[in-house]
This record gives sequence, structure tokens and C-alpha cells, in this order.
Amino acid sequence: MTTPAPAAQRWEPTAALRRSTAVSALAVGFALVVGQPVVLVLATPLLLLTLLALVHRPASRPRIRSAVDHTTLHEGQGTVSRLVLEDVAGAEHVVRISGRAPYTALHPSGGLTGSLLRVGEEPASLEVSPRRWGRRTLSDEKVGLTSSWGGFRWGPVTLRGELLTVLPGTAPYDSRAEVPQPLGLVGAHRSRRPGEGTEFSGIRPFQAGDRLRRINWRVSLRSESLHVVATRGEEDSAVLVVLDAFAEHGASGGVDGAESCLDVGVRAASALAEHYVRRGDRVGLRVLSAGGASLSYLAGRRHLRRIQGTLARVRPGEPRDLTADRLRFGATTGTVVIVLSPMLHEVAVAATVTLAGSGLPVIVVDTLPTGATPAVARDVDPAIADLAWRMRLTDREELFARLARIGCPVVPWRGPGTLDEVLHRLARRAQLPRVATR
Amino acid sequence: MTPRWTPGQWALRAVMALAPLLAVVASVPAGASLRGWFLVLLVVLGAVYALFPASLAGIGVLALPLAWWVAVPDDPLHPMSMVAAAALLVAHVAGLVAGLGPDRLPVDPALLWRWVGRSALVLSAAPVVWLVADAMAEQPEQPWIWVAGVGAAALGAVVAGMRFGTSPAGSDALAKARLDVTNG
Repeated sequence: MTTPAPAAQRWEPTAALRRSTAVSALAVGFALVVGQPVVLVLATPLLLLTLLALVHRPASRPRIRSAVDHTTLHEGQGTVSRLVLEDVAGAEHVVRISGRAPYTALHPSGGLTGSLLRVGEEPASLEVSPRRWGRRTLSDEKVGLTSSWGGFRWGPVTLRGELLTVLPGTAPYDSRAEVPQPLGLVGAHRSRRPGEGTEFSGIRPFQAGDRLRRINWRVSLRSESLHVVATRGEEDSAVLVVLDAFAEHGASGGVDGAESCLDVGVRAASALAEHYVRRGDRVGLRVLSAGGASLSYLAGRRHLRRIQGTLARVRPGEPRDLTADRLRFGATTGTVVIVLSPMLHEVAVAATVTLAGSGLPVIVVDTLPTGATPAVARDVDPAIADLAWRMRLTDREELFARLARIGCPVVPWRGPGTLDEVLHRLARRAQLPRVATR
Repeated sequence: MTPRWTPGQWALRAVMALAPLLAVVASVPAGASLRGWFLVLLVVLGAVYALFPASLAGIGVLALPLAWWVAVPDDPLHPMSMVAAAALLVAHVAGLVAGLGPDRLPVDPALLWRWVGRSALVLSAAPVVWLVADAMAEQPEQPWIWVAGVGAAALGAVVAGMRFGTSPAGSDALAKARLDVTNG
């Protein structure tokens, strides 16, 4: 936030000073004309107040700006917007008024605060808490100073609102299920391939290069030849999170209120990314929207932060001339694809079917909140809109059934354990022998 | 439409509207008989002043009791004139505090107490002026002496106010110290 050019501002007399000056002048003149000392008895306090206010006229040229403690934070978290005042000699009181920005809570609730200026104390701080992910610009605010004895006022000056990057909240999510086809390096998932893991795979004859501590002596004695315990390798996996941000259905009430489908999708994507990154997996992100966004498969906290930052910049929108066959996901064998979508856009549906058809385990997480209704234009009959919406929902149910038939399960987002069951099923299916098609 | 004032603002506005009335009513012991039209005028002006502290109604609502005290009471120099002086001062200070910010601004108790102290300081001049006026009531008419006296009292009060009446924040100490509230 910035303060305007200092030259544009100066200390102006307050209405109180004008009032007391006028009344004092009237009283002195009146006393001289009519010779009544009672006028002076009545007006002397006002006269003194006027003189003291005039004597304390400040000569400073204040510079005012505001600064928030944190410009990047998660939705629901709070920070403090502080006033930084320089060269405020002679100023005694500060008033600060902040407008109301969407999805931003302020304390004091009206964004209005005033306080005396005292050395060592923070004047007129505002607590700010963004209530929804995204890039939130705080509303402009006005700040005014009043001089000692209330005689002069500086401002109000307008300060521009600061930009906050609000990362999606860390929705509670946990999963005990392993990904179906881990195919990476070192990780936490049981691989189908033998390796140096802990999961028992079988007992086999000793081969050159086997570690001695793997020898199973009981079997070796019984069979009179060395046998070793074979284990499965533990590998990481690649997880591709695809977020459908073509449109926003349902109203968002912020972190404490109702959720739109985009809220569900963004928060679920953040939770899934955090979960898999913590488990050491490589996570990629693809946002389907007008702007689009794509992050390659990486692991680590910095990558998680990058994913959350990308999610915070998601804006719903439909790109022109987009077709599913032009989308490139870069998903390789072993990648688990999680599509977060209400499945109301044909490109999202086609992309999901394409991914599932390529042999990858694909899970669709339905992000449409219960009771969500579309935004209806004013000139559209609400009854017709309601009927059309119900028909669309019926189509969607049928679509989910078709997706399930091609091996692409659809689950609603429920937080922890949302994907466990389907991941178990996909893992079991991955163990089954398959007929390769050429 | 009811204004969306805080309780503190309601109290200030009530004082702004009623204190000038009290300044006039205080003239009854001095031998004044109240006049309905004058009280109604004062109430209307007081209400306007309470609603709009920055309006010119503030000047009228403070000047009318002055004129009343000159014109109506049999004994203008009655001790109740000091009550009237206090009422006028309170009405003005209440308007000043109410006008420091928007209508919805809560009244800061620290600020209120500061102004109570200041009001007491400047009000202390009224009994002095009254005592001098009362002592010189029998003297020949010399209007200039009152202005001179008030001037001398004002000078003393200004000096006292500069010495004791300013806050630490209003002093030069703040000019030297950069008030950086971000804690560095």
C-alpha cells in the first residue's frame, strides 16, 4: 500500500477548530460591544481550547503506508495489517477505514478503527483473514490523522489494498491405500517387482549377489541348498492430479461456509498433493481452465508449495477451441490419475475417458457439492432452469455408470479415506494378468 | 432511519444535543424565565449538531446560549454561569470527539479521558474570570479590561497547556522517533 504524493496533502483545520474559533471571536466581539463580562466567563474555555489547538498546529508532513505481516497464507489463517507512520510529529489520533473485500474478514469487523498515537504502541492495526483461496486484493483504505488538541487534520489519504496469495486450506486427508502400479525409484509403495523392500514375496534359491542376511536357514537346511527370502521392492509413484476448472457450480461461502465445486476441487487437489508429496511420491498437476496450468511430476516441499500456489491462481473459465485430443497430460506408465471434476464439461469427460483408455488407473472425484445449483440468467424462467439442471444431473449419473464400466471409478470427495477403497480395488486389478492388445 | 452509532457515539451525540439546553436552563436560578420558542430552536439546532458535528449548526448552538445569558437573566454573573460555561465546553468537546472519525467509530476510552483532562484544564479558567468579574462588578465600566484579562489568562493557559497538556505522541519526541509499528 502506498501513500499519495505528500505535496497533495496538508494539515487542514478541523470543524471543531472552526467552530470554537467562530464562537470565541463572536464572544470577544460581543463582550466588547455590550460590555458584559458573563460572555467571557462562558467563552473563556472555548477561547483557550482554540488557542491551544492553534498553537499545536503540526508542521510535519506525515508519510503513511500499511503493510501486512504475511502476503502468502492459507485460507482461514489470519494476519495483521499494520500502519507504518513516519514524520507524524504533532499528530495525536489516527483513524483508519478499510473497505470490505470479498472473502476477507476484518477485525474490527467493520474495518474501522481509531486510536491514539503513543510511542511503542501499534496504532490502528487491522486483523485480516482471507476466507477463500485465490489471489485476494484487500480493499482500499483511508487513513486520517488529527493533531494534538483536535485542531488540524491530515487526510484522509487513500491507501491501495495489498495483494494476498491465499493458498487452499489443508483439508484433512489421509489414505492408507497404496497406489496400484508404483513404478519409480525409492518410495513407500509395494512394487510388483522384487527388490530390497520389507514385504515378503517368497523364498527362492540363492543367487550370486544376494545378501547373506536374506538367507532363510530353516529352508536351506531342509532343502540342503541355500535359499533366500525374496521381497518386493518399494517404489514411489507418480500421481497426476487433474483439476476441472472449466466452470464453477454452486456458491462459495468461504472456508466456513458452503463450497462450490471449484472449492471442493481446489481443496481436494491441495490435500491430495500434500498427502502424496509427504509420502515421497512425485505429483503432477494439470488445471483445465481458460488459463490452464501444468506442473510436471516432482516431489518435495517446494514442489508442494508450487502446486498450492498454482491452485491459488486458478480462475474458472472455458478456453476457446479446446478439444480433448489436444490435451497432453504426459502421464507415463504407473501414473495414477486423479480427476477432480463435476463431470459437467464434455472436454473433461473426454479427457478422462482418454486417460482411462490408455491403461492408466484413473479415479474421478466428483466435486459437485450436494444441492449445488447453476447460476441462472435473469431472463431465464427458473422453473425451466431447474428442469434443465435436473436433467443434466440425471445425465451425469448415467455418465458415472459408464465410466465405472470402463474401469474408472467415481467417488465423491469425503476427505480422509476418499480414495482408499477404489485404490485397493485398482491395486487388486493391477495384480491380475491382462491380455495385451496390440 | 436510525443512525448506526456505537453506544459511545450515542452518548456523545446526546451530550451534544442536550448540553446547550442545560447551559440555558442553568440561567433560571439567575432570574431568567425560559421561553418555549427559544428552547425549541435550541433543541432543533442541537439535534442537527448531533447528527452532523461538522455542520454550522454547532456555531449556532454554542452562540445562542451566550446571547441568552447576556439578554435574559437578571443576574448574568450568577455562579450558575460557570455551569453554563462547562455545558458549552462539554457540548463542543463532545462534537470534537464525535467528529474525529466516521459515525460508526467506537469511542476510544483513552481518548475520552484525555479530553476530560483537557476540558478540566481549560474550564479552570472560567472560575478565575468569574471571580475577577464579580470583584470588579462595582467598578466603573471598562470593557477593554475584560479582553485584556482574558488575553492574559489565555496566554497563561496556553503556556500551561504546552507544558503539561500535550501527549507524548504529540511532542517533539515523536518527531525524532520514527514510529514504525512493524517492529522494525
